[in-house]
Order: sequence, then C-alpha cells, then structure tokens
Amino acid sequence: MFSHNLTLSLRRVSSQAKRGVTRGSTRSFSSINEEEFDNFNRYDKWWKDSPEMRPLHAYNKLRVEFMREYLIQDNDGVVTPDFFNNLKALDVGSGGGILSESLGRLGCQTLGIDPTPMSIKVAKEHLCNDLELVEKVKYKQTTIEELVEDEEHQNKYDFAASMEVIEHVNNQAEFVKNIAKAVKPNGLIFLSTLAKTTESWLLSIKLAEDLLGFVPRGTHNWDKYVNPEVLHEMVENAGFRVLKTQGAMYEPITNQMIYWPCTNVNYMMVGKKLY
Amino acid sequence: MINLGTRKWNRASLRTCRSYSTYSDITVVGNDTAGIATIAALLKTELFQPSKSHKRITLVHKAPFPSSSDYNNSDIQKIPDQDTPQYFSRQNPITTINFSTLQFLHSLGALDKMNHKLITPYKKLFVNEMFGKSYVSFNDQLIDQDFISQFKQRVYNETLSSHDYNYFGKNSLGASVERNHIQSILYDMVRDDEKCEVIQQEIKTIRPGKDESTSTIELQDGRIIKTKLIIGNDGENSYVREAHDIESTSHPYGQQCITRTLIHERSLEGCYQRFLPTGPIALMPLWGNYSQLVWSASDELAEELISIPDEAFFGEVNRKFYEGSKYDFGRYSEILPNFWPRDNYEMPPLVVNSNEASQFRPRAYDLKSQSAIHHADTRVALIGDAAMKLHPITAHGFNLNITSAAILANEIIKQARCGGDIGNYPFCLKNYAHLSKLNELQARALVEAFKKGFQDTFFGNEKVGKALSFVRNIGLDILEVNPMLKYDLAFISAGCINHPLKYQWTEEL
Repeated sequence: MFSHNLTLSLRRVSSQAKRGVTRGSTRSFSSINEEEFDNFNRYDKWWKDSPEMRPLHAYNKLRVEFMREYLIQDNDGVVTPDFFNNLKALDVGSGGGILSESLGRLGCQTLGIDPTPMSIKVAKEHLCNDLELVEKVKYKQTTIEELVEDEEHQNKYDFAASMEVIEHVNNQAEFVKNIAKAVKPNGLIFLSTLAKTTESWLLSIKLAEDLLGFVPRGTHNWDKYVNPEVLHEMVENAGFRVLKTQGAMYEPITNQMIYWPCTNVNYMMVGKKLY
Repeated sequence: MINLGTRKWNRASLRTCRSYSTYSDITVVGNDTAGIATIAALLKTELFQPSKSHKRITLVHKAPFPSSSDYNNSDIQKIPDQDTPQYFSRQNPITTINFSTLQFLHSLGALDKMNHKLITPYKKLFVNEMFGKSYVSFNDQLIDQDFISQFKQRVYNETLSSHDYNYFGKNSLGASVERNHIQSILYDMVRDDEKCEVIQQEIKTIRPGKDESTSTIELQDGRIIKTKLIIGNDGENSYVREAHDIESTSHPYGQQCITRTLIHERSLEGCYQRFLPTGPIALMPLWGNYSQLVWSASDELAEELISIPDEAFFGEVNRKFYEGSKYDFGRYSEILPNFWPRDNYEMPPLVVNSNEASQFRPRAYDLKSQSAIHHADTRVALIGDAAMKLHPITAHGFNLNITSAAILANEIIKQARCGGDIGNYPFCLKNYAHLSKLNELQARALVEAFKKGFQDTFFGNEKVGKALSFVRNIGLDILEVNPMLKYDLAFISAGCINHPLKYQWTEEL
C-alpha cells in the first residue's frame, strides 16, 4: 500500500517537474526526451555497488583522468596546488552525481544540473556523506536551456562536461550549442557518448544490456547514438575547436575502462571554445 | 547548591574542550615499515595538499621510531675499514631486500639518504641440501652466460618493466640491510614533510565508518580524528583489524628462528643457504668478515643452541654447512655424482671464535604464520604484519610488505587523481586487497613447498621422503646447468612479477 502511494506521489512529482520544466519558457524546443525522463526518474541506484553500475563507475575513473589531462595541458602542463580550486565546472546531466563529486574532490567548484527530481534527490543525499564536498558541489534541477537563459550562467564556466548524456536528449545540436553558451571563451567542453555502429549495437545493447546485464535494460536507444563525425560537426558549429576524440572500451574481467584506439563504441571528445 | 552547579558546568566544559576533533583523509595507525613507506610514496605526489584547518595525512603511532642519526654517526661510516662492535651489539633484525624493494626505496629518494656502507649488496647465492650433493648457485655472471638468457633479460627489461635494475651494481641479486635503518629514514621523510601530521599517542577506540560516512578514531588524550581511510599498520596483534571485524588465521610453525651475527675467517662471497632436516640455515653477508645467521630449528634444538657455549655454537654452525651428505641412495648414489661435474661450489668461510664474536648473543623467536582473511574492507586497508606474516625460509616477508605498500599507494593515488573516494572498497581498495592477497598466497605456497619438499620424510613417510630427495637432487642438477631457468628464478625472486611495473608517484603529469 505504502509503496503504491509512493509510486503515485513520485509520478505526480515527476509530471509536475516536467510541466515546470517545459512551461513558462519562451524556448521553441526542449532537450528532454519524455521516455528517458521517466526512465531516469525511476532510477535511484546510482551509488549501489551492483554489476549494472560498475561499468559507469569504471568509466568515471577514465573520463576524469581524461579531463584532468586536458585541463592540465590547457594550462601549459603546470599544476599549482590550487589549480583545480580556481576552476568552475558545469556537469550537464549529472544523474546521481558520480562525475560532479569527482570533480568536486579534484577541487573544482562544480554545478551539477539534471532535469529529473529523483537524480537530484539521490545526488544531494549522497553529497551529505562528505562534508568537505558540500561546499564544492551544488546541484540544480533544471535543463541546460533553462540554465543559460539566466545571464548569470552565461560565459561563466571554465569547462563543461556532459558525459554519457547526449544519447539521452532530443535536439542534440541545440543541446551542444546551449552548453557552449555556459562556457567561458577559451574554456573546454567534454562530451562522451556511443557511436552508431554495428559494434556498439552488439556490445552495448545486445551484450551489455540483454545478455550480461552490465547495464540496466532499456538504458540505451541505438537510434539516438551519435557518430564521432556528427558530434565533431555539432561541436564545431557550437563554436569549439575539437582537440581530441578518444575511444574507450570496457574491460569486464578487471572491471576497468581503458583507452581504445578506435572510436567505434564508446568515445570522448574535448573541444576548446574559440570565442 | 549554586556552587555545585557551577562546578559541574566547569567539568563538562573542560571535557568538551579536551575532546576536539580533527579531520584527515588518510590515517595510518602503527609502526610497521610498510605503512610508513605508503605515506612516503603518497607524499611524493602533488596530491593531499593541506587545507587551512587540517592536514590530509596523519600518522598515529605509540612506540617511538628508531633514530636515523644512529646510522650516520662517524663511527659507523668507518665500518668497512674498522670494525665497530658497538654497532653490532644492538642486535637489530637484518633483512634481505630484493631488487624491487631497492627500486622502490630509490623511487622515494630514501636510498640516497641511507648510509650506503650499511647496505651490503650480494652477487652470489648458493643453495644446497643435506641429502645429496646437488646444489644451485646464482651469480652475477649468470646473465652473461648464454645468448638466450641475454635475450630474455632484454625482453623482460624492455617490455615488462620500466625500472632500472642496474642501480645497485650490475645484476645484484639483492642486499642485506638492517630493517630499522630503512624504517628510520622513511620516518624522517614522513615527519619532516609538512603535508603529514605525526601524533605519538595510543588509540582508545576506533569506530569504523559505515558505507559512506567517515571512520572515527579516538585517541587516549580525548582527541578525535575523522578519516576516510584507516591503514592498519599496527603489527600482528592489530587493533585496527580487530575493530573492523576482519578475521585472521594464525598457526605456529613449531619452529624457532635463531639469529646471530658471526665473524668468519674471511669475507663472504654471497649468501649461503642449506636445507637441513630440521629446517633451513642461511648466512647473509654483512660488511667485512661479518655475516648474519638465520637458522630455523625445532623448539628443542633452538633451546639447546641458545644455552650451549659459544665455541660449541660456532662448531655446530660450521658442521651444519660442511657436513657431507649422509644420505644413501643405494646403487643410484654411484650414478648421481657423475651426472654433472660439481667443482665450482663454494663453501662458506669458517666461523671463528673470538672475544669480539662472543659479544653478539644469539636470539631466538617463535615462527608463526598469520594471515588476515581480507587485506582491505570499506574504509580500511591492512598492511605489514597486520595483513600477513610468513616463514623467513624464502626471505619473502619484508619484500612482500613493501610490494603491498607500492600497490596500495598506487591505488590511492590513482583514485585521488580521478577524484574518487579513497576509502571506497569496490572501486579502490578492492584492487589492492586482491593483488596483495594473491601475492601472499603465492608466497605461502612457495613456503609450504620448500618446507614440505626439503624434509627427510614426506608427511611422516620415510620411503617417499627418500625418493623425493632423489628427485630433488636431479632437479637441482638440471637447474644448475640451465641458466635460462635460473634467470627465471632470479627474476621471480627479485620480486619482478609481483611488484608494480609503474609507480604513480614518479609519473610525470
């Protein structure tokens, strides 16, 4: 009975949230995909040590390593003790806050945004476990298009990251352009997603979701995957110069994500804003 | 009434004043060398910068550390030329360190701070046994012997390992050094670093953190440390292990280890080890004519050896090394000696008795095997004797602990550079726990194989024991004439398989 009530109330909350997000703005589009929204709004196991979350946590290690490398490289390879403390980061589609917390621990002042109330709730609850992080990391339940409407957030962030998010949104090109608005001139953008290839269909949907259950079933929609060339174009159209496209691969035996020479499945991209 | 009330209030306020709490990312508890080495490695990185209110690494220890000034005073500088009995009479444990450990210390910059005259590298190792005439000798020319070994060396050096193995003289097999020497240097490095706080206090309680929160350590003076990761470095009766409910198994080997500094008629060429029915006996070279004896013997024999006069003790040691094979292989004994020529085996120089020699007293301690079921758990990692304790037969213990320290430091640095939670088990400490346990199990298997394999009886069966010793002799012969196999063995015993190939703290950003 209780759980039934809870589900009902959650549904109400989520529908309100969706209305709240879409209503009252003059935007002509929304990056929210209704189906994905409902899917993620039900998901609260971001921080559980379950087989289905392991690849994401493993990937998080690699992507932070990648981001760190390019942030340092962008600073001419110099790391002063408070280099990261002076950086402002934006995590678009923060989910349960896995990436936001990592960036916070590195020292960056991080803002994590996500449209789903459930993800923000999980992220805020988990953040309270580390009292030092509370000062570093903030969460906001919003979309990127709503965020950049506020002038305060335009041209504000040293870098923005949207890792494993773009394959879950509508209007992908507009989504990247909106992220670009939040980044400072000469700031960096980090994106990661899956390529639309046969290999990615086999590995990420057939093998990881259906056969082995590494990833919760229904997480991915192959039609929404983006090929590196397409993303490259999107990023360049948004005013960035692409510095690197790096492939990655999950290695289940030692539960590690490793750099991979080709970008047929998972890949990350880093771009530098020109103006 | 009012007075009473005030007094109560005063006491309460005093108590709260005394129990202030601090925060630290990593807290190392205890005196073992491995934990100190882990901190020293962590301090080499750009990470763990202290904040305004606290330092990020804390070392809590109760017993004082040895002082490094003992090893740098002018008397000891002269040791190779002039013998200084004061030094040896301290009777500190001497340990054999392999190449990986040397490399590790070098990467920390500790090797450069040590007194090199007190580190004795050895280039030869002779192993034989009492039941037969076969032997194996390792020496520094081993690698120059044939092209296959040379090729292997190149392959190993270039593909497997980025370390420079020629740091301590070409192709040295290892070195013998006083354990406190290493410890004192590492402790100095930790103490002098401003990123680390050192507290000499006893621990009152530890409250392990649940999954996501911090652990709490309360000290005797009421101070409270909140920490993300506790490293249990507090020896075999570890309180950290107990507080985290990590089970440990232990069993006595039923043997005692006798150590004593000996003086020989001339200096030793290398290490000598001989397998006796009662256990192995080994001589490790020290500077000059000195050597360190490590003799594993049964309880009764050990007691007897401790109590007999010096003359008899030295005689016994000489006899154990020089006594010929008393084993009769029947008609096979005629075949065996002719298998391969055995003329290049070197006997250790004789132990001589003198007034100086009798200043060093023999010491005996119980040999015990101990092992923690897990080497890590959420917010805790065990290292050093708290995690494992092994038989000295293969000289593994200390080197394995240093290897564990290298693995743990690597994992923590990797996790911290990715902004992860360093106390997290599944994504950080699990790797350490698995690798460290694997190394322990390997070493344990080797110890058992040596212990069971080199006895005169096999599980109480004399005939099988005899057959086994025959097989063993042939095995040793094959090994002796086969530099390829020997190179592999030397490679394994240098710790090159277990030790991490890359150190995170020496990596350039």
